[in-house]
Amino acid sequence: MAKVFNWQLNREMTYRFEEARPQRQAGAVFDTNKCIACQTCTMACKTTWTSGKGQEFMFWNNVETKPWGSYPMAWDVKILNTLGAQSWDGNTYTGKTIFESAEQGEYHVGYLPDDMDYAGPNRGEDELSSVMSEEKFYLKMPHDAWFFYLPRICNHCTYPACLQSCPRTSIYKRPEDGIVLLDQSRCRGYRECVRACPYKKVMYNHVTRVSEKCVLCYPAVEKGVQTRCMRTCIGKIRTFGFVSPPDKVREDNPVDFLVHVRKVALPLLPQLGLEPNIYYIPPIHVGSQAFLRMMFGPGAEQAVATYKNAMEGNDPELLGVLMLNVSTDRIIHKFNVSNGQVAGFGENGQELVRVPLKEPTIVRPAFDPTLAVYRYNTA
Amino acid sequence: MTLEPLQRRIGRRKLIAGAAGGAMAVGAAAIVGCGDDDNGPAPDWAGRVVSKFIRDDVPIENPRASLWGSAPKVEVPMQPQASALPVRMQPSVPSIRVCSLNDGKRIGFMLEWADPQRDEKVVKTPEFKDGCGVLLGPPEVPATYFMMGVADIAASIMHWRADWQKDVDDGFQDLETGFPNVAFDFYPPLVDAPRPLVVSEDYPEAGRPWLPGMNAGNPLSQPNKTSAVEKLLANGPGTITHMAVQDAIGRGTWKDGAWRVVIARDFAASNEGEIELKGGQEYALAFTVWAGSEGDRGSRKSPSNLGKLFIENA
Repeated sequence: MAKVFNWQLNREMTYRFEEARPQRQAGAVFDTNKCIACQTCTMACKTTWTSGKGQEFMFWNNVETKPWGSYPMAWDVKILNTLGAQSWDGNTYTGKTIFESAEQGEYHVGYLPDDMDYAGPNRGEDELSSVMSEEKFYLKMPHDAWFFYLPRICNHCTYPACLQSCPRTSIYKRPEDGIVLLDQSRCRGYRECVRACPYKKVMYNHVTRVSEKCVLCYPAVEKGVQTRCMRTCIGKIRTFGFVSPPDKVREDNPVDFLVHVRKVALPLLPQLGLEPNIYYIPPIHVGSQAFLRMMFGPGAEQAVATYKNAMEGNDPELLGVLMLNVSTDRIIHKFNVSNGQVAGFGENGQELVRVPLKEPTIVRPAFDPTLAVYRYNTA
Repeated sequence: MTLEPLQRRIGRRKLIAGAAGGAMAVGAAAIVGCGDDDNGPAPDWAGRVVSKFIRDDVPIENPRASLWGSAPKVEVPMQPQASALPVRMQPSVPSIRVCSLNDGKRIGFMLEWADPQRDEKVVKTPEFKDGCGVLLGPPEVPATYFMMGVADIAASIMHWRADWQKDVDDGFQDLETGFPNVAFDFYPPLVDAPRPLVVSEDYPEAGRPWLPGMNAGNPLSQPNKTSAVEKLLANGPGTITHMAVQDAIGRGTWKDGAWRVVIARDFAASNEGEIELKGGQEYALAFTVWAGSEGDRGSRKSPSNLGKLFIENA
């Protein structure tokens, strides 16, 4: 076992392989405040990659409702229960990761889901955890009303548990962009990776008898184009790009800006130790700060405050980055906010898109003199 | 063979082994043949299997053929697998019984072991198959060779898989095998195809994109199975490679709580790096067993220690 540095935990930890960061790391930020669980991302991915026989309940992208929903069933509760108590001292994680909790003879703690666990991908979506009770004059909910939507894909982790678990290294992390891929010709269907991934984003194909996972649409990314799930996002919640480690932050890189500069985007369950590369802007209306800290780590409260501040109009740069979400199919490497507009630039510095920070309101007169007609759609 | 005598024999073996303080050597006054249940316990293999020469063809298609009774049977204790992560600290199968026949051109191994649960389906996520393996190599190898060879000396492995046996016998175990009530609108042409399934030559264009493992040429993902035995070459844990020419044959049957499996190959090597066998020679030999319902797969398995195979001459 090697000692590697996990900046999300602010400490070293054990891992099977030496630290080997890619030349650049593909990553994304999901703004949970804007997700409406329309599942367009889910279906964009499903129709692109997993519409074959044996992939019926395989969703590389899913959107679940927190805290009651999960896909596969109770994945987060199960792994957190297995991991036991987790504690932070400031920004330093003082608990154990899934690697450090491993029993002798194992690489990590984990579990293999049952097929029924995959059978309700949007279980808990806008549902109560149990039936409402009848009070004298009203119905009473069994729990608080707050909830939020959590879209999830493979985190293309810096320290993937799936990669570590494979006895024959069928899983690899690409040095050029950090995308974690599972070699379909080499896999022998042991499902150690399915057991290992705490986010449960490696899945077993019932017909080909080998495991499969999100490929982060690498053929698109290689051409500078965003993934299917990002491009189709109706709520424009997704910022896709490349995320740097803290010592190589570029402030005009949208993802770096959100993750490292404003620290408004946080990893999902960082305490597991995988250094995931999909980040989340925590929901601002959740009734439990403890729940947010459990899900996104110790920076959750500050992230909520920073986001609220931007929404009140006090942070045009942060607002600008978020306005670039899903404004172009191309991958944005650089942004600039000026004169009430935000511009996104490609890898070679070319301007890809320009978006106003506030959409202008245009009122069209009811009578159109050019065609001498009245229009009634001006309300 | 019935379950009762097999279990009784295991129980007796454990008792004897306990009384003798572990290792023991049982004098083989009379040969106990494979499938021969009434001649007492098989002697401990003492690290050696002798492949008996016969003038008839090796009965590779029938693990219950009477000819197997003429081969001397030995008991091979299985070990924990602690060499490669993840480990199996207790063997899922305490021991197997082995014998071997050869006809001067082809060698066959018969492996028998008690397994109350027959696992021959790997359709669902938590399902793993039963299986067994025979490893062969040159006579002088390091002790660690039993774990799929070493870096500079390749091991030639034959792996019998219960799921492939079921595929061969009854046709490809498709999705409906695990999920009989599955509903679908459209699929590539595996659906409703006559069984046993034969995938046509034009399948690549028609449906391969929907079956990634098959599209990538993964032998596990091919629905057309012709043999239940896979030939593999390995240079240590994590390196097993499907051989280009697959001509090992065999057959496994489960009855009364026990598997009886025949694994056979030609003396001649058909792949580069594969070991060629000759009568009158000695070779490195090891066995492995997987019990699917115990979660065995990959390195979660019960191997034997490294032993020797002596092939009797004509």
